[in-house]
Amino acid sequence: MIQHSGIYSTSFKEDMAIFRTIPHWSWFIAFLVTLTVFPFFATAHILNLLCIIGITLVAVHGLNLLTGLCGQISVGQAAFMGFGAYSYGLLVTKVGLPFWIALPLAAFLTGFSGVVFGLPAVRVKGFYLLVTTLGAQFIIVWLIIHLRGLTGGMIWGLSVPNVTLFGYELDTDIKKYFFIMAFVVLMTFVAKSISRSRLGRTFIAIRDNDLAAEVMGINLFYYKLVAFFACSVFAGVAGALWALFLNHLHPEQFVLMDSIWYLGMLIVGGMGSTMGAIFGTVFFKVLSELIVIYSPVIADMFPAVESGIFASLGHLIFAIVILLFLIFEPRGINHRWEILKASYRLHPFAY
Amino acid sequence: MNRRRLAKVSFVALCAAIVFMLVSNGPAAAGDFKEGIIHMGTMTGMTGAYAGLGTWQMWGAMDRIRYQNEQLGGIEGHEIVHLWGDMKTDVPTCISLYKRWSKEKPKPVEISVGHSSAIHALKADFARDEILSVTWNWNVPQIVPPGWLYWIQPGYADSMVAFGRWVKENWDYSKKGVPKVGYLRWDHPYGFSQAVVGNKYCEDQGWFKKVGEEIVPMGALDVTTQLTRLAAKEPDFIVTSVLTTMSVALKNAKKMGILDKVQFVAAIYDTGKPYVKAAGETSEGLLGVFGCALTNETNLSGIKTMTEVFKKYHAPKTEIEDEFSYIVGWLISDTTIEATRMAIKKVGYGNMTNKDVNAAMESIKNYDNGGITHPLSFGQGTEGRRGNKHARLCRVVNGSWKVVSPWYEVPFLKGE
Repeated sequence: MIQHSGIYSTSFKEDMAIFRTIPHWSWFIAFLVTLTVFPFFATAHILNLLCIIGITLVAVHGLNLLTGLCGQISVGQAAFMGFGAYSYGLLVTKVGLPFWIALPLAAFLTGFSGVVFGLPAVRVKGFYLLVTTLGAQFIIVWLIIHLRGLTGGMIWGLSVPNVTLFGYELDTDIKKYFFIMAFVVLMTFVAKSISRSRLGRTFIAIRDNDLAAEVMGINLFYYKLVAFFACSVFAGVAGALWALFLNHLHPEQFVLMDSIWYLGMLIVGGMGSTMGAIFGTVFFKVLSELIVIYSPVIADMFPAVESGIFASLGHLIFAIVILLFLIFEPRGINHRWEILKASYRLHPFAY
Repeated sequence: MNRRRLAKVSFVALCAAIVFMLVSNGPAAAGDFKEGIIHMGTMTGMTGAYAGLGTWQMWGAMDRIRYQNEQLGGIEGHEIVHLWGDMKTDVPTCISLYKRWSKEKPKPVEISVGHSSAIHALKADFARDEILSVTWNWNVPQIVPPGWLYWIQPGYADSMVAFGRWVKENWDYSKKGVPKVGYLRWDHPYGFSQAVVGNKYCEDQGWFKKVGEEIVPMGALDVTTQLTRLAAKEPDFIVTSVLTTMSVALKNAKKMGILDKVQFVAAIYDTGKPYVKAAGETSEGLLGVFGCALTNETNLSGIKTMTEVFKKYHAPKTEIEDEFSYIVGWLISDTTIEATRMAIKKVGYGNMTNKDVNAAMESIKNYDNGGITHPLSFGQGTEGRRGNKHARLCRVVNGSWKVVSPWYEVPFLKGE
């Protein structure tokens, strides 16, 4: 990490710290204060958008551990999220567990399901692994649809009650926002910590050259499954948050396209970095929202053009954005951010 | 490209855009509306898996509102402002659109959502926010228990009863025995409702018996395997509820040589003109279940108005290609407009709340929408949410649907 001139670490602990300077801490505290104060001034629509961004971010953090750090591609993240959501829903409604037991248990169960579907990763990689995770997407959704007695299937879905915390029901947009954001901050910290830990470096070694990693003594079988487990735990937490955000689950909420978009978010944000996952998720969700808001406005300006054409702008813009990123900045927004930070720190010198 | 040239190109492009905007057949002049607007919201999947349906649904809803504003002076003189958006068949987008629109001032009288899963998730919000929703799809949980959601078409399962009634009236049981029915369906509430819930009712009546049920994915390019298994059970009818795959099924059946031996029946929503067109000559003789009139029934005043409005707003297009989707969109706006009109008439615009609109909707009895559907009647409770309790059968003759049965009253089938 490039630091301003004059900043030296005198211990490993200091060297490893996420926040090392007063400006770092100031920005972080300002961010937390904004996150806390902002909802009191925001509309329900904005709060809702932030909750959706937050939940998606938790899922994308998980995918970043598996794909960005460990190099194991997956297109089943939405299904794992569905697994977590339904596990949480069933544990709360059928078993009667309180949320603080149901949520970690749902995350653990999802992690275990990730291990099951991650087993082929030991034998195959690349496109072949992609196809096996595609299987997870179909099998999990199939199970949700056909275990009708438990899940409510396609017709009824599953209603999930609000969380009650110390006798205080989280039944409004703002209460849900605080609850979800607390988890988002926590899971972001966990993701960041994993990426900086011995485990994270092991993942990177596997990603960069799994043969070399094995020669160095890394147990590929074990660590690839750990990556799947970690990824699915994040998906499980995201799913549980989704369940208590929406209060109603349905198999159509966890579709293949979402799994693919999660990968798109990682690519655009920057694979392998926690900030990349944040940039990608926020960029995609905000862009998507802007397009949904403004395409009718544009369509109304050009009534001679069929409204469907403007509605399709979203997909067109997304496709162009991904293409442009792959061509001009394959390392994602985060790389640009790093360059910007480095330029600022080195100013007025070029390097 | 240097800066100067870039500036020139940008300037020309901007001018072209402005000219294009000016020459576009823009929205009609606001007219002499009374003070105070009425918000109505529509979200359909104009992109994504259901884009083919969603765009036509949206046009139907839009055109009816535009017609009301431009030709009929709004609702009791008040302009309708249409909030619309592409929900991309994506639940978070639906929720986001709903949250934004529900806080508009004045509060929308109605927001329709073209996504089953999102409707279920938003059902409690509709009740809490006191906003009506006339739905695009007709699954039982929408109206059980009753809330602020209304149907303007019979339920997926209910509409199967019309087919059962038609079989009962037209099948020679003494010579041929009880007819055998096979199902080619999607693994979705649409598909499950007909093949399981609707079928059970018809079997219990002794109208026919199910001999097989095959699942096909949406957008399948070949269903020969499923058809082969069904054909082995020698069904007299094969009911399809597979949307885009209906034409594929018919073409496969022709190749397999079973098209002449089995009568294919398209379930409600599977009857779209594009599918019939795609099936070509194989669609000849196809039966279809409808909860509304056909666009070629121009003797009906409602259809006549609708087709004229379509031609006016979508020139040079002259044909409503996906008639069912367009009609449903039209009906949703039409019914909401009628309820709002009644509410304004009763309490006045200034005093009107959405509770009044809901009460007006519940009080609609035998509403004649110009023959587009059997007269609609709403009321309280689950049964009251089913405004349309009638369906009928049509057959493809020379590439177009023709009516072959009277309107059948169909009961409410709750299923599991």
